[in-house]
Amino acid sequence: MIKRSLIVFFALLSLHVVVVSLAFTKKMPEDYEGQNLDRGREFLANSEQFQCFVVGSSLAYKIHVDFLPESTFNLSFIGRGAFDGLRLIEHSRAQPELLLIELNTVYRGEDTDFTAKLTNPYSRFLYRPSHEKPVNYLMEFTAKLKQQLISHHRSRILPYAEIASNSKALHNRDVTRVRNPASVAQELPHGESLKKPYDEILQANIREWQSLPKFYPLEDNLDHLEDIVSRFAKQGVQIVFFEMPVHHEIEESPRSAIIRSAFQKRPKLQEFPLIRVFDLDVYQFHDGLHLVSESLAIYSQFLGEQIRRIPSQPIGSNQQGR
Amino acid sequence: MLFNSWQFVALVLATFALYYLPLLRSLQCYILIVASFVFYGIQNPCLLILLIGSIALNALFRFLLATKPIAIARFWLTLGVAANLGLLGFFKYSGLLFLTFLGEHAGSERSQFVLSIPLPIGISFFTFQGISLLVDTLRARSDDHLRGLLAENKSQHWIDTTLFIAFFPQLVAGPIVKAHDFMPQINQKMVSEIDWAFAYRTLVIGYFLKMVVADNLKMFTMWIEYPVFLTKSTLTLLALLFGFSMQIFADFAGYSLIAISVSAIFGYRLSENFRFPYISCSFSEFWRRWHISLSSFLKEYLYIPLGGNRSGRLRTYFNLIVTMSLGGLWHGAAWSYAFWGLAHGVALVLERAFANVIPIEGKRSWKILGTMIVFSYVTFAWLLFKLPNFDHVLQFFGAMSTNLSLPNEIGLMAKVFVYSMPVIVYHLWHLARERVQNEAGQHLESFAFGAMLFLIVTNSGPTADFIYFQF
Repeated sequence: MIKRSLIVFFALLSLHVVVVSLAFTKKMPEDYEGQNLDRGREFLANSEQFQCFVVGSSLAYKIHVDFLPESTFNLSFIGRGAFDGLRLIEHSRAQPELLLIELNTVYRGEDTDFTAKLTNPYSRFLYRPSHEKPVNYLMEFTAKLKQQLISHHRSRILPYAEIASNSKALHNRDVTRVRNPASVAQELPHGESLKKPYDEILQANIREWQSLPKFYPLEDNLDHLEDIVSRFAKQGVQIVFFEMPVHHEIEESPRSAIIRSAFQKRPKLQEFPLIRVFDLDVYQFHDGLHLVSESLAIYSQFLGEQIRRIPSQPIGSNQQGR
Repeated sequence: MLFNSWQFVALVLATFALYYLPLLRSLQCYILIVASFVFYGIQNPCLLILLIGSIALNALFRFLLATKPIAIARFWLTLGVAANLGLLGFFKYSGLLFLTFLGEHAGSERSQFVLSIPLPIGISFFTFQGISLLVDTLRARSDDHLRGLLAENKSQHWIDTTLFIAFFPQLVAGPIVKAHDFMPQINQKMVSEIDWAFAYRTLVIGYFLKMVVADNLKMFTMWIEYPVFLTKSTLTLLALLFGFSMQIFADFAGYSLIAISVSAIFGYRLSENFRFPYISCSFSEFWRRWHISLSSFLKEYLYIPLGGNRSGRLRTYFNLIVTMSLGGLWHGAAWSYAFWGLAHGVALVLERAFANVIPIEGKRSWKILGTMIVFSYVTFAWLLFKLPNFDHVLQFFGAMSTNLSLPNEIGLMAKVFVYSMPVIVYHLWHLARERVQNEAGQHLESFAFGAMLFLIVTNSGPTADFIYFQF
């Protein structure tokens, strides 16, 4: 039985290699960890091509790099903070010139399990990119077949939960398809019923930001951040901190205040420019934290403009945006 | 150390190579003990202090139980069990008890200390094994069948105790091994004695369930997260809950199978921990199939000592409720776990009370209906594992009743269904296995194992801790 099953295994593996080499599909995964891993893999495979990097959390995950300096790679990861992106940059062969570090979630340290999945050869072998997973490409193939058999393909507006996993929005930057939930709610036949859950999510996030989450060592993280940025600065890398815009109640929440105050007490970090947003009314959010696509485009443009205004050497004063 | 990490693979290979080396055969127990300490302490060596402390404590009590007169030994047994439970209580439940009874002092320095007590991995498992060791040692003095549990000399006493408690395949997440099952197996092993077919089967199924089914499902069932689930339709929520039910089985059964397989490679046979639980047509059957090592432990060391079903109907119900509630609380330091146990206890009591009215044992249609009821009840109860906050559980049920008109997420539901399929097939295969005991069946089995191996290599989900690690 063992021999026969091993023969089957090698036969299937050979077939798989052929199918993958044909690469007829490259759909983004629906799960956030798969998206994070795929993004990390993409970076590590092409790290030498990029000189500018955005590192942060899901808040910055969809920043449009088109508005930022050329050869910018967005190394923000959903559910994580800036430290994972920084670790990958240090691990790679990239020679960064500009680092954009998101501060909103600096209380989250590095997830070593996650970075190990990208840097450890064993893990990289074991956890294949999503489009190389047989279940995914078989499902994709079935979906395409179905689509061809049923000629019409209904276009639909994505509900909140799918926004993070929308492959088109991520890959093709088709920002027009992802909409403000409030407007989605009005347009859908069951729209009113969607409004309530989104309001509840906003309220839940506001409640959550009333304190720092337990077991997140903010001060240790800032120590670590100081070490990292000084290492990069010594290599001539320009460091810029930025805060993603969030709902004004979250912006004024105790958690935001604690992070900001801890950051301001660090003279080493204060040497670098910080880009903040004060005119929050310009922006709309899915849940008080994550910008809707139109707002994300506006913010990306604003961030790009602010960066261009910064002198090439680190400056002593913070930038203040609209 | 995770079973699917390269460190674990390296540890098993290195241990295997040394373990069966003819020159080192007399040191087999020591090799396993060293490997177990490496396994447990590699990420946080401080944890070893606790493990060694627990071993020392149990070795001491075991010695007293084996050598003192029976009447005095009973006192030492009580003290030994209390010491084990005290250790578990301190590390696992002090925070919960503090918040429950002294919640008004939260924020004080004392509360900071209590709430910062870490939960050492595997403590729930090895303290239970310590209890089993002590109880069985006392029993061995009056039961000839258990005589083998009493060590011949002091060094053997220490080695046996250490290996029994620290044996790495089942150290951090079970199966909970009873002393009378494990201790008689401690002897020299030969490589020729390994049942490779058994080890291969359990290893492949175990890794497949964990890495392909559970780790992939986890990426979708994470939508059962407050407040995100509020935006999901009723059908999507049902699919996600179904997926979580499959995930928790695949995660834990997968882990147990890997543990059983690795133990078999080192010549130790651990008892089955999951016997296709989702085909159970009654709650009592479910608990004979789900986490068998825990339920049999609770039955042997708690339910029966409480009086079992020998003291009248009401007392039996009381014993069931107490056993299941404490069993629930064993899973985690939150009242939601106790409530989960209570829910199962109530189900068992109702089943017993109505046993004469509803003849589940008889008709096939009753059995099918029973299976559906048990599966649905068990699945909804898992929600308490996913959402330990009662308020969120109620909101989940609220969303299920109000979100009927929201759009269903077909893609998400399809993925959940696809990754749940192996668990369904696994259960159905068990039912059909007897009918396909022919050559075609064997070919099918070979293909299935080859396919599982292929999917482990090509389709594993992102590594995640085993759900039961938290217990």
